[in-house]
Amino acid sequence: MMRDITLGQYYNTDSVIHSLDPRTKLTLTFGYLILIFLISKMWLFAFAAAFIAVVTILSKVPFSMVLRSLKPMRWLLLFMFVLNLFMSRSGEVLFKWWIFELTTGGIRQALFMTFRLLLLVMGTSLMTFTTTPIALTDGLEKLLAPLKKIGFPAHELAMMMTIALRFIPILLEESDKITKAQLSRGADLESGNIIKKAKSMVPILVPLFISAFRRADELAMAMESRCYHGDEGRTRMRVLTLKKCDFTAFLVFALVFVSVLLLQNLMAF
Amino acid sequence: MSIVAEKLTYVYLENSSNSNVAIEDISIEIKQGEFWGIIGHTGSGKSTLVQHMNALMQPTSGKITVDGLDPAEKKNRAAVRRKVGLVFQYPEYQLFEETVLKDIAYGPLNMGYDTQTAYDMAREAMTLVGLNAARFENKSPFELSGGEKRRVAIAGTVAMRPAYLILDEPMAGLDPRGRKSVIDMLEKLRRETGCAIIMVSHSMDDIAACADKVAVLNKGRLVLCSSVDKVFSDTLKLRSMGLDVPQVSLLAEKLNESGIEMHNAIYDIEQMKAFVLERIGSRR
Ligand SMILES: Nc1ncnc2c1ncn2[C@@H]1O[C@H](COP(=O)(O)OP(=O)(O)OP(=O)(O)O)[C@@H](O)[C@H]1O
Ligand SMILES: [Mg+2]
Repeated sequence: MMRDITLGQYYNTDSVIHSLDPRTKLTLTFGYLILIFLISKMWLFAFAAAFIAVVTILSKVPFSMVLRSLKPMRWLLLFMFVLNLFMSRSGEVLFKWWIFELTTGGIRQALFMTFRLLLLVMGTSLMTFTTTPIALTDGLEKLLAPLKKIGFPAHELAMMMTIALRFIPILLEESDKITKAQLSRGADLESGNIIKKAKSMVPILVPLFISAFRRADELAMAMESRCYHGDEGRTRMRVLTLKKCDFTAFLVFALVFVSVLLLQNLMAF
Repeated sequence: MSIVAEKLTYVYLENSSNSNVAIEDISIEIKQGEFWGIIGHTGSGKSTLVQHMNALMQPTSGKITVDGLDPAEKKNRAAVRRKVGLVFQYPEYQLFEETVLKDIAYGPLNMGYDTQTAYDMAREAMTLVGLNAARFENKSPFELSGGEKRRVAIAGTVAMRPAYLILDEPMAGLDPRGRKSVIDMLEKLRRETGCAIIMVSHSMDDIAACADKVAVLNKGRLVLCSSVDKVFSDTLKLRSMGLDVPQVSLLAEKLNESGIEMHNAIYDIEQMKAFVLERIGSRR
């Protein structure tokens, strides 16, 4: 059913990584992305992989889940691999057919890009595994708060994201229900050509939109009747505070970051 | 000709860590023309059970057949859905057409009737559910009142002339008068079309008022399943599951306790009225 689509892939347990402040995780993930892009030697990826492995163990998220997060990317990964395989032409030519030319440089480049992408996806997945979507938007709002001075609507943006996240499961459930109701009235959603299929979606989409508008209306009313008036003077129920473990995390990551870059520049190979 | 369920079991999210047995080992036979009430607490599996009867869900184990047709085979599903009409909880949220008439005719059109016949069937269904066809047919379904929308939605299923009509909490969110008029409508429907009616409800009183047979679900299991008088005279068992007993049964129980003997269980308000009047009369 539709319900299998999970947008937030939060994995609920109790771990050091889970208890880190969302701001810390957002910043460090960003730092990690930069590090991955700065790495220019294949063997240094081993460090990044080891780093990910340690974080995974600390977070108590099963390895299989982290690997599964790569599954939706498999076609992109394959495409990137093949593209890079034939795009860069350097080193020895191993194989030649028509306009395709397989070179050692190509293989190197393809492996390099694939590793980079794999590590990127795994790192960001770890963040979403260990942080609830709501905490993420909270953290994002805080991080973007300085930009409010130049008129950037950080609070509004975060509120919109929070509401959207809250409503995704509700709308999925609702579309499931409406689909069933129309199926039991004999709706045929499967057969026919594309135009007929699109037409047969109307009895599902119209009620879904109406209900989304109704819910939006009700929510706006409920927020207003509880005196919501935007960002100004609003206090929080859960105030984000940086704890000792957050500083430790920053320190550890800084060490990894610097040592990888040092290794890259000092080692000749 | 009947809906037969044999050892029906359904597990939500099977093979996952939070799998949930919604119904378990349910066997029931619903014959043509009967009026069933299905009752149970929130989460007891009522909606899950009735969706199996409409081929919207396929059992994890066990079997269900509708007039001998097994919806496990894909080719039977359309036929099963023609025989069994299912009105969901809050059905007014499924309306989508520009006019009431077009919306009600959606089912018959899907069944392959031509537009004219479908519109005639829709008008007939409107009369059956107590909507004045001439007055409502060209209105937009979105400008009706809540109760009227509900009738339109029920008519949308009735128009398909099902042999079995299932309603999942048709009274939810209606005031007492609205509830009464839905009950009257269902009784009229059964009289005039002869279809079996299966009504899911939380209210013992509503079921006592119109059903002949009752199925009581508790935590996914069928705990009681027989005629209304048998089920409602088993007040002990109903109470032990934390379910209400109809108001009239409570009165009968109290009367019994205070020494006024009642030969058979009375659960219907009209019967009770007759009994009390008769007692008062004989004493004078
Ligand atoms: N889509 C679903 N996914 C997972 N579990 C579900 C789903 N739908 C229902 N359940 C679970 O199955 C059980 C039975 O649900 P069901 O909707 O059949 O109950 P019900 O008797 O109709 O309740 P209500 O009176 O509230 O309508 C419940 O425990 C519920 O949590
Ligand atoms: Mg239900």
